[in-house]
Amino acid sequence: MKTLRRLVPVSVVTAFAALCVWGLVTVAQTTAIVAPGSVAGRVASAAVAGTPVADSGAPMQRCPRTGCAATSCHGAVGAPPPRVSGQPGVAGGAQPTAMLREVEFEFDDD
Amino acid sequence: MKQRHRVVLDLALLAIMLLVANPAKTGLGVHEWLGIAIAVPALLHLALNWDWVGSTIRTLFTKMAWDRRTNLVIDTALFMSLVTVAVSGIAISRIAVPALGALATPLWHALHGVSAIGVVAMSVAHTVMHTKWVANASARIVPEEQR
Repeated sequence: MKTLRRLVPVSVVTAFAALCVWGLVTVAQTTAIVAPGSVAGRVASAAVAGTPVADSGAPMQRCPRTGCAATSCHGAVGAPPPRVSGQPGVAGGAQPTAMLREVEFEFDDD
Repeated sequence: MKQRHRVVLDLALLAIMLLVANPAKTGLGVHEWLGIAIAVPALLHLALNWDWVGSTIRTLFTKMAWDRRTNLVIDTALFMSLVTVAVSGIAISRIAVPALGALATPLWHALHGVSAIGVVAMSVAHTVMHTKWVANASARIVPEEQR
């Protein structure tokens, strides 16, 4: 019974803290008080622009051909990336060249 | 509440928290519903220790043992991380509270990720700070012949 009675102030404090968090984030989003240049600032400006954001806070580009989102996309700037010969399944070259080159490693058995 | 029940409640809370912290393993639905359900044992845990919270805050500006002060800092950080992870989790929810989906801005997503890391870190610290209590309480509730 005593525990149940204590649940009242606990719930009030928790609800108040939740409202504070909600209010702070809402104010930060609407008034853009987040410092420009910081991770939170990039996230906030990207949120306003409606673009997806990477975990690092960098705004991601949406590739017009493949639809994939990345912080840098060869396809998004128009020019197709250089194709690597002999790589199966690389239609249109949507993946960065560095990723494709990793596949080309040759391993010596001896 | 009896010591046995308190230990069971705390262990259940820890187990649920470990499950909630692994959405890749449990799936998004379980992650969201367990995240909401954990509020019950978490609030109960806080209510059971409310006397300690009150007495510690009342003596905040007096001479206080370092471990008590450290506990207060860790517990406050854990509480704020939990509230933040819960609020941001509800804001970005896709299964449990999909009606709030329109609020799922990247800022809420980023906040959820950061506060989740805070919850895990502070939970580990909280558990470490109470290792002695867990050991003593477990020793008392497990009968001598079973040890």
